[in-house]
This record gives sequence, structure tokens and C-alpha cells, in this order.
Amino acid sequence: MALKGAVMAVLTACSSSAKKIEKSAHTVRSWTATADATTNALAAGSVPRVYGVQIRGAAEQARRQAVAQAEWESLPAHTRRELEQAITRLQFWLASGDTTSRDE
Amino acid sequence: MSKLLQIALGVFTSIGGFLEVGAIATTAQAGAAFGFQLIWAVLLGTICVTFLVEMSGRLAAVSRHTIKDALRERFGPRIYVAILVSDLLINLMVLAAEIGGMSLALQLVTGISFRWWAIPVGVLTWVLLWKGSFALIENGVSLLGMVALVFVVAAYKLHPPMSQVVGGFIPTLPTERPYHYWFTAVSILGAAISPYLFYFYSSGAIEDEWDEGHVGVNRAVAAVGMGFGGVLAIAVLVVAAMVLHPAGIEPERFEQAALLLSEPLGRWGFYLFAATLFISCLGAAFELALATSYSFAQGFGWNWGESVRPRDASRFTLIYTAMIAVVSLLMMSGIDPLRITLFSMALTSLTLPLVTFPFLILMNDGDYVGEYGNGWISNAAVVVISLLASLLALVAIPLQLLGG
Amino acid sequence: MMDIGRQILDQQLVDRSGINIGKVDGVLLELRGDRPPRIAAVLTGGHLLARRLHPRVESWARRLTRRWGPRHHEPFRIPWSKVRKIGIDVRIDMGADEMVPWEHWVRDHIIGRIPGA
Repeated sequence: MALKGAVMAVLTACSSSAKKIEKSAHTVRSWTATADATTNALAAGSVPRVYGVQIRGAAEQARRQAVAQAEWESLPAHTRRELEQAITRLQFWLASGDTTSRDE
Repeated sequence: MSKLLQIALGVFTSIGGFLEVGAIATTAQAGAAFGFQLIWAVLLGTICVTFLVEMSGRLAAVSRHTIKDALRERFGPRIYVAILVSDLLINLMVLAAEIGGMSLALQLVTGISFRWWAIPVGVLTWVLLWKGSFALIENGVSLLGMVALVFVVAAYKLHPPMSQVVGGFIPTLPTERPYHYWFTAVSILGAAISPYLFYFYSSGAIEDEWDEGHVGVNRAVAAVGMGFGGVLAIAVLVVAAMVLHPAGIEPERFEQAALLLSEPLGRWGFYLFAATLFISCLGAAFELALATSYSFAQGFGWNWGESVRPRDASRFTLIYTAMIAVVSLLMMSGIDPLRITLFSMALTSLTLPLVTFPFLILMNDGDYVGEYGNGWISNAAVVVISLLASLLALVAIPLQLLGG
Repeated sequence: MMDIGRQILDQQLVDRSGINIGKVDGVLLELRGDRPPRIAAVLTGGHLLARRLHPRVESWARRLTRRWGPRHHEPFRIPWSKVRKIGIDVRIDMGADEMVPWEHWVRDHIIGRIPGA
């Protein structure tokens, strides 16, 4: 009886942290997509440079917040890498102006 | 002709009351996260608010009382003060969100952080209220608010799959992330059914000197005005479903929402997004500030009126002045505009029955509305939808806070 | 015969030129022994509203207004003979000027000082 209770408790704890990991991954991927969409928009001229700067800042802040969380280590490696790369691409575009580094 | 101009009141109320930072934020989130699935929530909210707006106009035209005026008379000071206090707290929060929205619009375009725009935006809002007349503000915002049609243009350009759009009008259960789904639905309802909207409308009807002869045009104004708002809100959702959803972008910060219009419309889209955000939030700020001033003045019997000179309605003026000052200072501290927006919308949903039930009692009281009392459809629609919104909020808010 | 609660109390008071004075916060009844009581006056202002909310609210309001605000703290009495019409609001045959001390105070000390008022 006590064992069953303990098992249930552990399972609940595991599943809720699985949910947290999924949520964190979701947010990270959303920011990756945002950074990429912004880089593309900048290249297409559909947003001004000043907007690119804002997204770069916001994405970087989101990345730092994600890294500070416990779930960061449990995220798939490619998810983490893609966010960092997307921010770098955006950064690079803003720094160099017209030339993009989309061919990676 | 002047009755056609009355449509201006309806459209203005709609731009500021319906489509503002709350509606934009919640429908953008809905479209981004769930595609077309939550269109039914916008529809339900539009239906409910149309009934409520029509009622508030009818009450004003027939009884020559505004809602707040009649509430104190009918229910006495204790209940009135309770309503006033809860009204004030929510209005402060929503006004903070609108100031935040305007500040964000300016940040998008200039790159200067929204925090620095809070005070200038507050000053602008206040000056326009101080110097302007009701007609000027009403017509000005209605006219400028047409810029919001850019969302309809974008939605059209994106060629959404009509079968899916139509399917979204039918309520469906979520296939994933149920907590987030219901919380988003609740915030959409709270954004659409904003009490300050119909309180403002009833005062506006008195300011515009409506009488029994306006009952018919009131129905048209309510339907056209709120219908317009509903169409705009659905357009935002559709654009988000076409632009953000496939890309997997879910706005956590308002800045991400600017991509909504830059994708389909290019650079113009970006600036029109900022313009729509700014103007609709300005309209909302006017309505919120005035609605709160009306609340106090009509409950305590002060002189009131936007077209009256400030010194002839000093206490009335003091209320909106103090409100704007407090909120602008608050937003300078850097509170996240998106977060306060979503929270205030959910809170609005939660407290909806407290607002609508006393109102419904008035609308069925012969002393106030004579033979123009509510039909069973109006009563039923409002009761059902406000209870639904509240119950959903009761469940969804804690879940979102815990798990979301 | 009149339903005081329904027809007079909490109604809007309007002076002879159409300016709002306040709400009817109270009613003064004249007791006449065997005959039904008669309304002697309507009351507005002072701390009447606060008292109707809760006695503690009234004492709190009195303490707050002791230091600042207009000096006048008692409700105004409007004799029943001055009441002209009861309908949408209660119209009286008097001028508002003497009966809205808070309005004047806010005008003179705050709003009136801002340019363009």
C-alpha cells in the first residue's frame, strides 16, 4: 500500500517534469523560429534594422533564462544548438549589414 | 445623416473597447498556438458583447440613466461601492496594459525601450482628454482606427483554407495542451467582453443625448460596431494561424507579434502593425479613463461629461487625471505589458457575472426600461456566456499558473 | 404615497440650472403622531454616504477630511418645499453653488491650477 503510494508519487513527479521539459523545449524552439524569421525579414527588407536589434535582445534574454532553468540540460542537444545558432545568425546579419550568413 | 454618424460611437467603442492590446495579444496567441481552432471563442465573445452593448444603449435611451447611475439607485450604495472598487482595480490593470501597448508600438518603431515611452504616452492621452471634446475623440479614433483593417487585408492575402476557418467557428476540444487552450479561450472572452466598453457606451449615449427614438439605431450601431470588432479580431487570429503557427512561433513577448504583418505585407505591414497597436490602445485608454471617471461621477452624483470644461467637472476630471498618472508611473517600472494584458483579461472573465447579473436585473425592471425590457434571448445569451466565461476562468487560471 | 427607497433615495439631485449637486444620500422625516410621517427635507453630502456603508468607514472618512479638503462636514438639508420634480432625477429650486464644497475645493486646489481648465 505504502509502496503503491510512493510509486504514484514518483510517477507524478516524473511526468510533471517531463511536461516542464516539453514546455521549455517548446519555448526554445519558438525563439529559434523567431530569430530565424527576423533574419529572413531583415534580408527581405520587411522589417527595419531597429526591430532586428530588439529581437536579438529578446531572444538572447530568453536563451539566458532557459539556460538558467533545470530543464536546460535535459533538452535535446540539437534544440539547444539551433537556438544559439539562430541568435548568432541574427547577430551576424545585424553586424555586417547586407551580407547574410545563411549558408551554413 | 446624424444617425449615420451615431455609427461613429459604435465603431469607436469597438476600436477602443474591442480591438485593443488585449484582443490583439489573445487572438495572436490563439492563432499561433492552435491555428484556427479558437475562432469560436471570438465569436462567443462578440455575440455576448453585442447584446451587452445594445442593452446599455437601450437603457440610456429609454431611462435617460447610465448603467452606473441606475445601479446606485436600484441597488443602493453598498453594492454600488463594491462594484465600483472591483471595477476600478480591473480598469487600472487594463489601462496599464493599454499604456504598455502604446509604448511598445513606439518601441517597435524607434528601438527605444517601452519603459521610456510610458510617461509621454500618458501625457498625450491626458492632454487629448483634457482639451478634446467627446465628439472629437469619438470621431477621431473611429477614423484613425480604420488602419486596423490592415489585418483583414493581410488575412485575405494569405489565402487561409476556408474549410479550416469555418471549422474554427465550431467549438472543439483541444487535442494537445488543454490547460493553455482553455486559458487562451478565457482570455479571449475577457478581452472581448470588457465591462468598461459597455459602461462607456451608455455614458456616450447620454453625452450624445439619445432618447427613445434611438432604440432602433442603437441596435444597428451595436451590431455594426461590435461586428466590426469581431471581424478584426478574427482577422488577427487568422493571420497568426497562417504566419506564426506554421513557423512554430508563439509570442511570449509582444515584439514577436510584429512579424504578423511584416510577413504578408512587407515593411508597410510592420509600420501598420505598430500604428494599429498604437491607435487601438489609445482608443481603449480613452474609454478606460472616461469609464472610470463616469463610474465615480455617476455613482456619487458629481457633474460629469467629456465635453464639459475641466473646471466645471473638477472631480470627474481628477479621477482620470490621477488614474493616468498612477498607471504611467507604474508602467515606467518595466512591468511586462504582455503579462499584465493576459492576466487582466483572465480576471475580467472571472468577474463577469458580478458585472452582468445586476445589469440584467436593471434590463428587466420596468421602472427603468418600461416596455423596452429584455427579451428572453438577450437574457439567456448573457447569462450563459458570462457564467461560462467565469467557470472556465475559475478552472483555467489556477491551472495555467501551476502548470501552463 | 411615496416609496422613498425607490423614488427618492440615491437619486440624482439637480439644481435649478441643470447642474448636478450629488445624490440623495438621506431623507429627513417629520413624525406626526397618528398621521403618516412626512418628508421634511432631503439630505446630501457630509459623511452620510460613508455612514450608510459602515460606521467605521464614516469615522475613517472624518479622520481623513479633518486635515484637508473643504471645512464643511455636515450634510446639506434641502427643504421639501424646494423640490420641484421627481422623475429621472430630483430637481430642486436652489442654486448648486453653496452645496458642492468638494467640487469647489478640487477645482480651486487641483484642477483649476492646471492650464487650460
